[in-house]
Amino acid sequence: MDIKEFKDILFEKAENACFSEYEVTASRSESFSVTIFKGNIEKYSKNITGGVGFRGIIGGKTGYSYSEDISEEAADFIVKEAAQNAFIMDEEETEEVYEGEKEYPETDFIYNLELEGFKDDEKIALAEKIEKAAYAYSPKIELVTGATVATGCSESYISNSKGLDLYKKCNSYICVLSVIASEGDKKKTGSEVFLANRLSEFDLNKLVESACGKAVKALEASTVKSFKGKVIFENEAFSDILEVFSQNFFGELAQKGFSLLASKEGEKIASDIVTIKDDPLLIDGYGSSPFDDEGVASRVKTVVEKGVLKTLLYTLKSAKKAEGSVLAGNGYRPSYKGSIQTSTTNFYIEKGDLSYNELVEKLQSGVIITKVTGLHAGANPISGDFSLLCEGFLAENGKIKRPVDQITCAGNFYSVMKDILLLGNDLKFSLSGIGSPSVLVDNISISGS
Amino acid sequence: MIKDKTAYEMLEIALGSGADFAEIFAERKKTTSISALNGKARSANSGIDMGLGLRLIYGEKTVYAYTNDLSEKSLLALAKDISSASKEISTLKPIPFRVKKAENLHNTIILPFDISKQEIFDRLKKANETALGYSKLISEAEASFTASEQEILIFNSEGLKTDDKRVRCRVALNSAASGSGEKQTGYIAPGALSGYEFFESLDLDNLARKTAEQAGVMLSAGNAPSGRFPVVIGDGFGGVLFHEACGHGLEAISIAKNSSVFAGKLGEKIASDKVTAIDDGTIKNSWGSINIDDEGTKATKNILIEKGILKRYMVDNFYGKKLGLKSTGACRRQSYKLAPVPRMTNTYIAGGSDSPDDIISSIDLGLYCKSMGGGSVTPATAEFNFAVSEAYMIRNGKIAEPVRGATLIGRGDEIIKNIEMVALNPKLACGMCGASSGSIPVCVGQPMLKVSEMTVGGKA
Repeated sequence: MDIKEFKDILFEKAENACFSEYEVTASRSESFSVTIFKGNIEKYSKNITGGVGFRGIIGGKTGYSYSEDISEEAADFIVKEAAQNAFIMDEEETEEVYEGEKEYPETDFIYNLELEGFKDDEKIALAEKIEKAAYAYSPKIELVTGATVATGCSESYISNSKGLDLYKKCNSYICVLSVIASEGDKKKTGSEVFLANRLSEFDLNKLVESACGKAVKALEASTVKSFKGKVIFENEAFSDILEVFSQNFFGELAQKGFSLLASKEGEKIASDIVTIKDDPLLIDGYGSSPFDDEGVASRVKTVVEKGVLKTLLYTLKSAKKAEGSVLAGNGYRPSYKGSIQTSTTNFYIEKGDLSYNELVEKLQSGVIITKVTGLHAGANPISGDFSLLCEGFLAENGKIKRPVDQITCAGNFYSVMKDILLLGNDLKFSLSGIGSPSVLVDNISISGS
Repeated sequence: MIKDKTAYEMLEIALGSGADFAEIFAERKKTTSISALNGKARSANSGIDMGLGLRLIYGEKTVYAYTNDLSEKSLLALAKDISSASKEISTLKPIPFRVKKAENLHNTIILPFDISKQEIFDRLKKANETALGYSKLISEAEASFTASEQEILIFNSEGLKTDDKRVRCRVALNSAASGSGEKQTGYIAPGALSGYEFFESLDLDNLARKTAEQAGVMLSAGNAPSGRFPVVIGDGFGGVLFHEACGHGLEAISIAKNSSVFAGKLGEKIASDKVTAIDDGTIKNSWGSINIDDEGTKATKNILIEKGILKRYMVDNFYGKKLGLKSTGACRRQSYKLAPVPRMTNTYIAGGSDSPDDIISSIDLGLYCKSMGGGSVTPATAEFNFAVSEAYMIRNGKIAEPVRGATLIGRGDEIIKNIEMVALNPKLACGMCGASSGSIPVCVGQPMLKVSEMTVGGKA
C-alpha cells in the first residue's frame, strides 16, 4: 500500500469514527552509514524507514497515534487508539488543525542535489582517509575508535482535513571522528562531528585537529584548586549548557508553571550584551525549515534583546493561550511517533567581537572550560542549577598555561545569563541547532582539589 | 511477520556474498503512554513500531540494514542491496531452520491494550492528588504510565528460528516543590517485564508521597560541599554508579576494542574483597529481564566480579568469537533499527556483611547519597560523573542535614577498589540505559555501601 492510499483509508475511517478534524504527518527517509576501524569497514548500514503519525479532534479533544505498519489493520488501530487517547485529554489542551498560509519562505538550501552523486564507494574512501589522518596526527593517538561517514535524505508531508498539503525534502551528510590518545597510564578521548549538505564545506584537517587535538592536549591535564570566580566557557560547552535550559523559553512550559521565565517578558533576564535569536530561515542552519510541523510558515524571532526577554516560543496551542499577540511556528513533532511540542529551530546567542585570544587575555587568570559532560544528570532544567564534570585549560596572565581535568563547574543558569561579561566572535552551533560564541562568565564555582 | 521462505532467501543472498553469518530480527511492537500532570492528562499516545533488521558479518566487519516495508519484494531487494557492498562470492548456504522455542520465565496475566485508557488515567490522577496534598510546597505532580507489547522473530544462517513476546509496564512519578523562586524535584519510576497486573499491584499513593517528601526535603537543603569525603551510597538506584562506572567497561564490545580499563584483566583482582557483582537477565518479571536476547540466546545469571576478582564479561556472539568467550545471553538492541551489542540486563552488587547503622556510624564527616540521579562514563578512561538527587551530610556517625547540587566524580576502576563496607540486602531499581544499540530497559542495584573517599563537586 502506498502512503497516499493509506492516507485516504485512514481519513475515511477517521471521518466514520466522528473525528471533526484530522491530520497525518508522513515521512520517509533513506540513510547510509559506514564506520572504519583499523583500516577496515567495521559497520556499514543502509536503511529505508518511514511511518505515519496521526492527530485528530474528537468531542472537542485531541488524540494521537502512529504506525510504521501501513495496513488496513493498522489504520483501525490508529483511529481506535487516537479516539481513546483523546477521551482522557482535557478540552483546554485541544490543538488546532491549521489551514495553512498563502505563502511560505524559500529554504532551497535544505536539499542539495549534489549529495545524490556522492557514491557509497566515495563515502567509504572518505571514512578511510579520516581514520588515516587521525593516526598520522600524533603517535599519541593510540586508537581511532571510529571514523564514520553517513548520509541521509528525508521527505515529509503533512495533510489534513482543512486542506493543508505541504511537502519538504532535505538531505545532509555527517562525518564523525572519535579517538583515544594515551601516554603512559593516562588515556583521554576526543571527538568531533561535521554536518552539512555541501560537499565542498568539509575540511579534513579541521576535523582531525579538533578531535585529536582535544585528546592529546588533555593528556597533560591535571586538576586545579577549587575557586569561585571568572571562567570562559568555550562555544561548544556553552551551547551544550544553553541547550539544556532552552526549554525554559518555551511558552507552553511557562504556562504550565515549569519555567522561571514565565511572565518575565519585558524584564531583564541577562546581561546587556546578550541577544538571543530563534531563526528557522538561517542559511545552512541545522534546524532550518520553511514551515513547522503544524504547517505554520517560518519566521525569525528575537527572543532576548540586549538582556531583555522579548518573547517565548510558541506552538499554535500555546500561542492561543498566551496573553497578547505572539507568533506560533515552533511546533515540531520529534518524529511521526511524537506529538506536537515546542522546539527551538536555530536558537543562538549572537556573537560579540572579541577573538578567542582576546577573550583569554581579558580573563587573565582562571579556567577555560572546553567540554562539559553529564548534562542529562548534572543539570536541573527547571531550577537552573548545574554541577558538571568538565575539562579545559588553566589560564595565567592572559595566556593558556596547561590543560585541566577532573574538575566540576557549578552555577545556576539564570545567574549565569546575568553574569556574562564578554562574548567571543566564534559562534558555533551544536547538531541540535543551538549556538553560542565563547563567553566569559563571572561567579562560577570550580571544584577541584 | 515474515515467511520462513523469504527469510531463508534473504540469508541465502547474504551468504552468497561471502558473509560468515547473517541474521534477521523482525519486530512488531505496540506501545501506549499516558501522562498526567496536576490531575489533568498531559499527553497520551499509542503506536505500532514494525520493521526488520538484517545483520551480515564478514570477518571483522558488520553490515546492517533495516526497513519497515516487510513485503517479500522489498526485503529481497534490501538483502541484495546490502550484500552488494561485498565483492566476494560464496557457495555457502544457510542451514535449514530448526525452531527453538524460548521458555517463558516471566508470566503476563493482563495485556495492557486490554485496559481502557480511562482506567489507567484515573489511577494516575489520584497519584497526582496525593502528591499535591502531601504539602503546600508541592507545586507540580506528574505521573505517567507506559506499556509495550513487543513480538520478536529471529532467524539466522546457522539454522536458528526463534520468537518471543515481551510485555513491559512502567510508571514514573515526579513531584516538584517550589519556594523562594526555586524548584526541587523528587522522582520514582518502578517497572516490570510483566502485564498490567504490575501496575495494579503498586501502591501509587505511597510512591507519590515519597516523591513529594524528597522534593520538599531538597527544597529546604543547603548546597553540598566540595572536596574529598567518605561517601555512603544508598541501596537500589545507587547501583547506577556501578552500572555506569564499571558495568559499561565490562561489556565485551569495549573489551574487544581494548577501549576499557578492564580489558585483559580476567582472573585479576580489580575490586575490593567486599565486591561481588552480578548481571542476571533471568530475575522473574524484573524490568531488565529477557527470556532470550536479541540474537536468540537464552538469558543467564552471570557473575562478573566475585570477591573482587574479575570473573566474566557480558558477552554476545560477535565480540565473544573475537575474545574466545561464549555468549552470556546479553546481546540487546532498542529496536530493529539497531545492530545488537552486549549490554547489561539487571546488574547489581551482591549483599555483603555490614549493617547500614555500622556503615553510617563509621564516618565522622562524609556524604550520604540516599538517592542518585543519572550519570555518564567514558569507558576508555572509566571517568564518571553522577548527580545525587537526595543527599545528606554525615556528621559524627549520624545522618545530618540534607544538601543539594552534589555531583560525584572519579574513575570506576579506582572506586571499586575503595568500597570499604557493603550492607546485607541488595535492592533493584529500574532505568533506561543508552549505548550504541539504543536505549534499553535495565535494572541497577546494590545494598547500601561505603566508598572510603570520593570527589564531591558541590557549590558550598
